[in-house]
Amino acid sequence: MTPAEEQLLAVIRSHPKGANEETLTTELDWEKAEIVNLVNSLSEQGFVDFVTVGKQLFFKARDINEANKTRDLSQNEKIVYNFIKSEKSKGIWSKDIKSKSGLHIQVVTDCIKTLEKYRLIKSVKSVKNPTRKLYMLFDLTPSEEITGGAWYTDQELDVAFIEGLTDMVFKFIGNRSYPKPTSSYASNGDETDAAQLIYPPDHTGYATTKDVHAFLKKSGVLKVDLGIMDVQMLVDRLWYDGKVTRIRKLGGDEVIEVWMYRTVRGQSVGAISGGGGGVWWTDTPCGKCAVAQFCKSGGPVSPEGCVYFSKWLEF
Amino acid sequence: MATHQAQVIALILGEQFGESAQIVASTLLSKGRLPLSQLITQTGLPPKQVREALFVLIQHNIVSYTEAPEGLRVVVHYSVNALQVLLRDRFPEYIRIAKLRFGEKAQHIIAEILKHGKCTFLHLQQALYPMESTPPDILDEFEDAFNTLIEQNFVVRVGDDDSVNVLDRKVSEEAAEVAKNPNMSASEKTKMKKALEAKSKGVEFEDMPTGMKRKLVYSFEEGDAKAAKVYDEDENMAERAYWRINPSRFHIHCRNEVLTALAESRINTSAKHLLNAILTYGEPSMKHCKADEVSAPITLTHLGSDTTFDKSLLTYNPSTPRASLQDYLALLTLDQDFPFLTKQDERGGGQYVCNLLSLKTALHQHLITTYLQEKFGIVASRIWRLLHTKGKLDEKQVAKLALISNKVAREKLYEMLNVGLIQLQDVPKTVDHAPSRTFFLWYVSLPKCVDAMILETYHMLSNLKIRRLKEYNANGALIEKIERSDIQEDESLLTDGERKGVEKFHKVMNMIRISEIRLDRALLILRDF
Repeated sequence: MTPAEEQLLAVIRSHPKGANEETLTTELDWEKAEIVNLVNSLSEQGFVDFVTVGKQLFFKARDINEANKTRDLSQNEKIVYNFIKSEKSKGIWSKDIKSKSGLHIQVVTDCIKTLEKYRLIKSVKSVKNPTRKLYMLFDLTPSEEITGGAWYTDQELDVAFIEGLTDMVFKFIGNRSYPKPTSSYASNGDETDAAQLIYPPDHTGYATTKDVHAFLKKSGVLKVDLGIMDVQMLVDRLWYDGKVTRIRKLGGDEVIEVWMYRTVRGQSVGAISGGGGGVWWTDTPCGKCAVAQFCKSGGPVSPEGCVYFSKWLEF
Repeated sequence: MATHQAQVIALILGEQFGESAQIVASTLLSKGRLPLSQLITQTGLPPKQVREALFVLIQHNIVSYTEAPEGLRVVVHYSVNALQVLLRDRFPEYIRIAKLRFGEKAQHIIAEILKHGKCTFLHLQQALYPMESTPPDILDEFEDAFNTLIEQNFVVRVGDDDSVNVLDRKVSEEAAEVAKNPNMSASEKTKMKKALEAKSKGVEFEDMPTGMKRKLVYSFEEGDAKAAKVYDEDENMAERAYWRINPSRFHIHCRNEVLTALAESRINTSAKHLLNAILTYGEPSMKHCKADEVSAPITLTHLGSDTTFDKSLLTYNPSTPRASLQDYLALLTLDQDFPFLTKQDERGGGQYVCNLLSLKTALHQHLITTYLQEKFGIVASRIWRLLHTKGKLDEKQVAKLALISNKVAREKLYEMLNVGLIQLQDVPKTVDHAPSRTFFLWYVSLPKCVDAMILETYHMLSNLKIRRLKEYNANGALIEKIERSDIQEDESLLTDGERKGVEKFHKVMNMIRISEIRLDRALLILRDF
């Protein structure tokens, strides 16, 4: 690099958003033609990019590391590299590069291989299309669209994380669901049995999704930021599990605020099945039997010779 | 469904009536209605045995007959009423209910009627109080108990056409209606059929004279003649009229019990007492578990002045009894999963009905999810509820909404599909129905699921019964021995090993019996509610 080029590069670097011809001529007081020559030469060496904003042409200095890395790339590799770079953290599929660049697929694959070898780009998998490899610059973090959002770690649903959070949410809702034996609801009744206490019908202190969201944010267990809709999914999940029940809240204006949640008390089925925790079917071996479909009297699997039965009756 | 159900029926009949009755009933069940001659050929039993079996089965309300004219002759066809057999497993429950509601006298009455299928009042009296010297007040108590059972429809009179097949009765009733009005329009016909349908569900015996109570006669002139007639009927009634139990009344009692237990577990004991008061009030107007939509409306004022309902049972924050009543009524109304009550009107401080029909559905749904949770894990029950709430969804949507991985979702969906508790709907994108160009959507249909569960329950029930039979037969020698008279008198004649064997045998029998009773409880809710 000549001293003149270095001086020009330094000026361009001082404008992180890019400098146009006019800025350069006023700051350096050089001939226009000379600047153009020097910029071309810098661009060839990979130090400067041309960016068009509106109708104006800007010169932008490349990061020095990046410049050093990309300087030795071939023309095709540079094209591929630029396409990958332009998609930023969304990533781009090799077929898309092919169709956009017009290069042969073999060429594109070769370029990708070289770029990967230089650790300029990396491949990631998307949760939407797990079989497709997406490429993005090596130092970028993949966007939520590819990773699947808060529930995914390494493109896989983080079950342990979800279970842990659900437990926390469940306990939080449970804490607000029934009056404590020491509260005013108990004091003026004779009933001190905790399982009998319940809030009056107009009680509005049950947990809403908004409360749960605030609680989770405050708790400090979150490594990622959860939106209120994510929290709604957690609460819905508990509802589908039958562990919490919903109560309509009057006066809530937002969608999120329509429901309050309360944990379900006791084992409802235990009560109607006449004591005991399980349900009628699963108390017998047949209810849990994996081969029940083939089971018939006189067959290879039969109630007469069933080993599960023998074990059960021994018990 | 039919195979497991048929097996359960055969096992019950074999156990309770012996082999020939079992063969006759099974043949009728598999072949449909048959005349006697064909029944004899089909079963291969001697005519006398078949006749006797039919006699016993008709006595126990299991077999019904039809007289169909064929040319000049009238041929009698016999058919089996499957439900009557299946209900036999519930007899202990009926006896328990009778004791609980009406005391020991009623319990004996019900037990005696069940033993004979149907019987006369005279027979009951002689069977229960064979001694001439029974004090009259005891006999009075017995008669009172019997009258109460009849008044509340737990025991009903057997009509002349009681053994006639239900379908035949329906056909002839319809024919009679049509004969009355030959120019009936289609809509009138549907209306008439609906009316008959409703009539067959529990109200059919309402107009029948019971013979056990006198009617009030207001008009004196014609009253004399009427009274004389009623009295006349009364005299013979004790001998002539036969009585049988009315299972649907017992089922209504069971349903109300289940609902109050549910209210207790969802809310608390006070809610249970309140719901119990509401259901007890509405019970006389309930006809049939399947037909009742809501209970009779009851107002807050009525509940407040109801002396049979102890207001001090309502506990928390009782500033005034009325306020706490109001609070509990609101709590029962607000439950989203089990909408116990609905407020119908503002009159009398608020008029409430119990949503019997929607509670039944909620109960079915609840049972199925609990079963799924026990058998396939919580993920399965979550998916089921998700589909039940959201309607039709594809596999990926299921996984996303249930917050589980696609793989787990697929596994669970297919597991449930295999047992028939989840359904699959294909939506082809093109006319050729190629699987690759078709959306497959999962959904849940509650009636289908209930049917699948009933089938599953029959299967388990038949397994349990077969196993019990096997255990019984395996211990034949031992049972024979302990039933010998000398051993009955002196148990020390048994060896240690035998005593242990007897103990184990009883334990095994008990375990299986208890499981059978518990499964019957499931059938009660799924099939008979």
